[in-house]
Amino acid sequence: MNEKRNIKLWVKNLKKYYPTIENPLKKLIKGQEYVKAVDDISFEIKKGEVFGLVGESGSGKTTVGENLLMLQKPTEGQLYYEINEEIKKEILEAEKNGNKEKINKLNKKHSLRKRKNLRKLRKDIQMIFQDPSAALNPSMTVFESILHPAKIHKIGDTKEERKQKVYNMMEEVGLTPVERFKDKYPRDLSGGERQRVIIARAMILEPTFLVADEPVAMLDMSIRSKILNLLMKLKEEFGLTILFITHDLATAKLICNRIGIMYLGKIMELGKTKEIFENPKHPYTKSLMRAIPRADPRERERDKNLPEGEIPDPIDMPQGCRYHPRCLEATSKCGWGPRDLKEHIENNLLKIYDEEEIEEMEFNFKEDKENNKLEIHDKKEICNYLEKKKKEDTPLMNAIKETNKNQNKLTIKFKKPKEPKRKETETRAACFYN
Amino acid sequence: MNTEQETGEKPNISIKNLDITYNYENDSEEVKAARDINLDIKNGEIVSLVGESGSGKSTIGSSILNLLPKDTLTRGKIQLDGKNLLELPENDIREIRGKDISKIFQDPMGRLNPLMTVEQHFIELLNEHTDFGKEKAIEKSIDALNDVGIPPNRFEDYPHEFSGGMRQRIMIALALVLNPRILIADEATTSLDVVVQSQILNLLRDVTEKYNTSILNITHNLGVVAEISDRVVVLYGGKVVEKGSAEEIFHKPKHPYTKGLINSVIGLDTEELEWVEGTPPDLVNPPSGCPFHPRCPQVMEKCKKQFPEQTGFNDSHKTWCHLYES
Ligand SMILES: Nc1ncnc2c1ncn2[C@@H]1O[C@H](COP(=O)(O)OP(=O)(O)OP(=O)(O)O)[C@@H](O)[C@H]1O
Ligand SMILES: Nc1ncnc2c1ncn2[C@@H]1O[C@H](COP(=O)(O)OP(=O)(O)OP(=O)(O)O)[C@@H](O)[C@H]1O
Ligand code: SF4
Ligand SMILES: [Mg+2]
Ligand SMILES: [Mg+2]
Repeated sequence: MNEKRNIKLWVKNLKKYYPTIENPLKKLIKGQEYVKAVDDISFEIKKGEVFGLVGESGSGKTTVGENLLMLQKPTEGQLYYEINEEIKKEILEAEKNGNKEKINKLNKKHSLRKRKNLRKLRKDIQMIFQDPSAALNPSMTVFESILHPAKIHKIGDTKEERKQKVYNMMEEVGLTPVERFKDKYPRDLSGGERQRVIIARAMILEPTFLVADEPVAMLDMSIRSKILNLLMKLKEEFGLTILFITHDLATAKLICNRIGIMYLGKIMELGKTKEIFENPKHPYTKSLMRAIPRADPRERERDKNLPEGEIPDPIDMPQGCRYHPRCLEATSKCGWGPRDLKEHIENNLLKIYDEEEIEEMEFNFKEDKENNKLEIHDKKEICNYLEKKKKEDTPLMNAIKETNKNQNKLTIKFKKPKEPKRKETETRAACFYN
Repeated sequence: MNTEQETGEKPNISIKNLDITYNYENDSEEVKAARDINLDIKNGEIVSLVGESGSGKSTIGSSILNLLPKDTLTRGKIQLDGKNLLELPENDIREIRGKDISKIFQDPMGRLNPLMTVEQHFIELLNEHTDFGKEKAIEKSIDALNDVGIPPNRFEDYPHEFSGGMRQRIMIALALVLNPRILIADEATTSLDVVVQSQILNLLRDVTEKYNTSILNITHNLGVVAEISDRVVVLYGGKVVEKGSAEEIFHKPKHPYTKGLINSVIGLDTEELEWVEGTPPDLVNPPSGCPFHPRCPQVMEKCKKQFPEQTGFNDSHKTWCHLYES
C-alpha cells in the first residue's frame, strides 16, 4: 500500500436527507420535507488512528457509517479513500477554480462514489453494526457466522486452518468453551454474546479499516476492557484504522486519537481527544461532559445542568445555530426567530392564563420564516407581556431587530440568522464564541 | 437455600429459589442459566441486576413475564399479589404483560414490528389493555413519546426510520404508557447519549415516585447503576454472589467478582484497561463449589468443593463467599 496515502478517509460536505412520507395534500402545501440525518459534515480519518464519533442520539452517526460503505447513497458530498494532503489540496483547488474536468478526474480516481474505489474499500473494511440481533443471520450457527466471511475471502489455506482461526477468534472474544458455543444459534445467545459473534466475524478478516458502531455497548466492563485491548493491539501492531461510534465518553477518551461531537446532523466540535476533554469549547460538548454518569452513588446529587428544552426535530431544524434553543450560553446572535418567540410566549403565558385560553390565542400568531418575523394579532395580553419582557436582557429579546405596532397587529422582526461554521483548520467548534 | 428476609414493607414482587434451565430434556445440552435466585423488589424501588455478559440477567428478566422458550425448565416462585407467576396460565399472563408488568427489551429492533408504524404499536397495545377511544389513545401515546424526546411528527414512521437510540426510546415509551406496577428495563439506555440518558433516568425515577412503580434495571453501565439504584444485585454464572445498597456495592464491595467488576469500570480518569482474568464459566457444566473459583485471585481449597453460605453484613448487604464465612 502507498505509504504516503496517510489520509484513510476524507468525508467532504456529506449530506444525507431522507424524504418523509406525507400525505399528498400536506406535501402540496408544505412541499416535500426531509429528515436531515446528516447535514453537511466534513472530517478526515488518518491512517492508523482511532477516530471517534460521539454525540446526540439520532444525530446521524450511524448514517455516516452507512454512507461510508454506500449502504445508503449520500444525498450530496464526497467521500475520498486513501489519499494524502496533496490530493486533498488538488481537489480543493479544482473546486475553487470550478475546474469540472479536473474534479471528475480526481473523483474517478479517489471517490467512493465510484464503483472501482468502493470495491477496494470493501475489501479492506469491516463493519460492526449497532444492533447485533439485526445483523446476524438467524439460521446460521455461531461457527458458520464467523466462518462464512472467512470462506468468502479465502482466509486460511485449508479447511482445518480456517476452523482453527474461527476457534481462536472465539477464544479472543470470550465465546468459550468453544465447543459449547460453536453450534448455537443467535436466538440462544445473550445480547452480549451476539455482539461478540459480530466482533469475531469482523475481526477474522483482519481488516485494515474498521467501522465500529457501539461495538461494546452490550458487554460487561471486564469483557469490554478485554476487547478494547484487543482492538488497541491490532491498531498498534497492524496499523488498523478505526471509526469508533459510541455514547461512552470515557471509552472514547481512552482509545480515540481524535473525536467529533455530533448534534442534529452536524459536527459541532472536532479535535484531539485530549484537548476536547481538557477544554471543551462547544456548549453542547460541555453539556455532554457534565452528564457523564459516574460510577459512584455519592455523586448522584451533583448538578448536571442539563441543556434546556426539548430535543428538536430534524425535519424542521432550528435556524441559525441549531443548538441555540437549548444552549446555556446562547446570545442574541445565535439564530433566534419567530418560532422561539412563539414558544416563549406560549410557555410563559401558560402561567398567567389557562390552557383553553392559550389555545385560542395560538390562532393569532403568524410566523413568517422568510422575513424572520412574527405577527401577533388582537391579543392585548400578549402585547402587554412583550412590552414588559422586551426590557429584559435575554438573548431572545436582544435578538429583536424592530417592533411595529399597527392598530391591533404587532410585528416583531428578528436579525437575519446565521449558522456558525467550523472551519476545518481554524476553529474547533461550530459556535460563534469559540 | 435461604430465602431472604427483607425488613420493612411487603415486597411488590418476590422471586424465590428460582432455577432456570434452557434445553430441558431436549436434544441439546442443558444450560443452567439461573440457579437458586432470591430477589425482592419493593414498591417504588429500583433494583439493578448486574453481572457478566451471559450470566443470566435477561433470562431472569424474561422469566418474570413467562417469555422463555418452550423447553425451558423454571422452578421456584415469582410472587405477585400472592400468585405465583410461573404457574399462571398463558391467558392470565397476557393480561399482566404490558399492563401490570412491562419490559423494555435489550434488542429493540428484534421486538418492534418492522411492518408497523409507531402509532400502530401504541394503538395495538392500548386496544389490548384499555377501552380508550382512538383520540384518547393517540393523545396518551404522543404524551409518552414526548416524555422520551421523540417529536410527534415522527408518529407515523416505521422502526427502520429511526436511529438505534430512538427505537430504544420508543420501547421505553411503550413500556411506560400504561403506568405499569413493575418495569423490567433490560439495557434500556445503552444507545442513548448521556444527556438523553440522564433525562430518561430522571423520568424513570419520577415514575417510581408518582406511580410507585418497581423497577428491575438490568445493565452493564455501572455509571447508570450508581446513579439510579436503591439496591444492586450481582450475578455470576447464574448465581447471586452479592447484594447490597448502591453505596455498599460501590464503596464496600466484598465478593472478589464484584471487586473485579468495579475495578474494570472505564471512567474519565482511567489510564489503563483492566479486566477480570480468565474466561466466563460454562453453564452446561458449571464449576463445582463457588462458580467464580477458577478465576478468583483469593481462591481456597474449599471454594472448589462447596458453594458458600450467605454472609450478612447488615440487613441489606450480603455476599456468598467463603472468605467471609465464620
Ligand atoms: N432509513 C431511514 N429513513 C428515514 N429516516 C432515517 C432513516 N435512517 C435514519 N433516519 C433518521 O436519521 C436520523 C439520524 O439517524 P442515525 O441512525 O444516523 O442516528 P445516530 O446518531 O446513529 O443515533 P443513535 O445514537 O441513537 O444510534 C434520525 O432522525 C433517524 O430517524
Ligand atoms: N434459548 C436459549 N437456549 C440455550 N441457552 C441460552 C438461551 N438463551 C440464553 N442462553 C444462555 O444462557 C446464558 C444466560 O443468558 P442471558 O441472556 O440471560 O445473559 P445476560 O446476563 O442477559 O447476558 P448479556 O449481558 O450478554 O445480555 C448465556 O450463556 C446464554 O448463552
Ligand atoms: S468463595 Fe472462594 S472462589 Fe469464590 S469468590 Fe470467595 S474466595 Fe473466591
Ligand atoms: Mg446509531
Ligand atoms: Mg441480556
